[in-house]
Amino acid sequence: MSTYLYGIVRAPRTKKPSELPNEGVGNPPSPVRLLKHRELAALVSDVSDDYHAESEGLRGMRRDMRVHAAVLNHVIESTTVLPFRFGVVLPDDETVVHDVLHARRAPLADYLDALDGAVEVTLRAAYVEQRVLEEVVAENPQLVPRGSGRRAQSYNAKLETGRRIAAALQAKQRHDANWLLDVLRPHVRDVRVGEPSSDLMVLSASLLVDRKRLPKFDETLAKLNTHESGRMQFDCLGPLPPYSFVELKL
Amino acid sequence: MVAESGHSVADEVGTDPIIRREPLVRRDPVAFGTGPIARRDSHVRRPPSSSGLYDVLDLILDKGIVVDAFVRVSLVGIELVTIDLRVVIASVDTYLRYAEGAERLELYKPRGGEDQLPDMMGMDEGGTLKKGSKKLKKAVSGDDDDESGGEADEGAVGKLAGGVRHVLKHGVGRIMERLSGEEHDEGDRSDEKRHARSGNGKHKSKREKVRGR
Repeated sequence: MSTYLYGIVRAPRTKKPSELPNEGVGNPPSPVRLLKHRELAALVSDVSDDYHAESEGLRGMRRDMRVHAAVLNHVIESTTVLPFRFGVVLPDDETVVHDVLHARRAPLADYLDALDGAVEVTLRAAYVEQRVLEEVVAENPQLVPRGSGRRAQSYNAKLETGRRIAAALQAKQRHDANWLLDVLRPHVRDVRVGEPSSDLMVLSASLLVDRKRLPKFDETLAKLNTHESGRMQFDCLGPLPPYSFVELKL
Repeated sequence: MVAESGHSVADEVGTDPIIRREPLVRRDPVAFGTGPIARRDSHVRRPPSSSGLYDVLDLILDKGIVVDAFVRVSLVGIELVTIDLRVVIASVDTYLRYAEGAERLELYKPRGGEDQLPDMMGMDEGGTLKKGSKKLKKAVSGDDDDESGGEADEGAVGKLAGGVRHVLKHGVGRIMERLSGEEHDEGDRSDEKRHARSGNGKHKSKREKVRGR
């Protein structure tokens, strides 16, 4: 049997750690357990030696990905945890202790300190197309030729208009993304901004928030949501283990 | 309903018969909490348990601690995810949609006397058309790349129908959908519409290109 890795926590001082899920990844799944070494502990479970994420096909892979995320989501509710990427399998417990918990004690302990009491929150904001188009046209009246509504523009004129609108949208997006971050920054410890994946996406970011400051963060986000009602829509998910803030390659 | 139970209810409850005849209290939803809108807004953030696999796919496949030598996920899967998450350039169809949307806005804009004059003279439109044709060659040659990537891009700039997740899913493409197993019916339908429109547009621009030469 090989050892599948979910995450790293501080070794619990109590004899009986808080309940861990009974079913880990793989088919059949084994219980998730704590593998301790001095002040650190790894969340692991047994998997077959030939375990591979895709060995059970797409459905199996999806199931295992959900389990991986769920195990970590469960732990982050009460404890700081450094999450592993999906699919890390070491030959046995001894290798985990030797190569991870012992060999990399220092950076792991440092990260546990740095991320202590913090959770990740993902935030995506997108424009409501109709509304933002109205804005762009109102702010840039030269974009759309007067009376164009009465007589349809030629195909190429439309293309040019569309290009200019897209450019204006991009500028607006950059401005609004910065503004959103300015509003939220006082309530977060750190930010990782991703590339927006479409014209209408204003912001796609991962935020590191102190667990204790979540209520204030939520309040601020709610105000933003109200303020931008009809113009922007927000999608916020959390608390999550800090995947985006543990940049460690072992 | 209350009346049907007859006097036995009154006997049990021991209340005045008049009370039995009172209608049930209507529950006003607004009376609960601070009002429906306020309650919705205070919960913008949703817990991970409410999310599907799609929302965390990027995190668990691309972030977190990695032990290179021991990853048991095939490279192909990971590569697909990172490719999907690049910035998507707006396609020709997006430009058309924006222009048409803006045109519609102009159409419904209330017109004053000042607005009438240039329109009647036709000057502005002529000027714009000239500019349009100058930039035509540039636009067409520049768009050659966009057209080939059109299929992928179309999803990326889909209409924001059901919220941010809808937009993100289009932006990230079909492969992410397959991986997470979550369906996007709306997106498929609107993609078909755009395909139908783009058929005409692409054909036109090819003709223009030949003429421009």
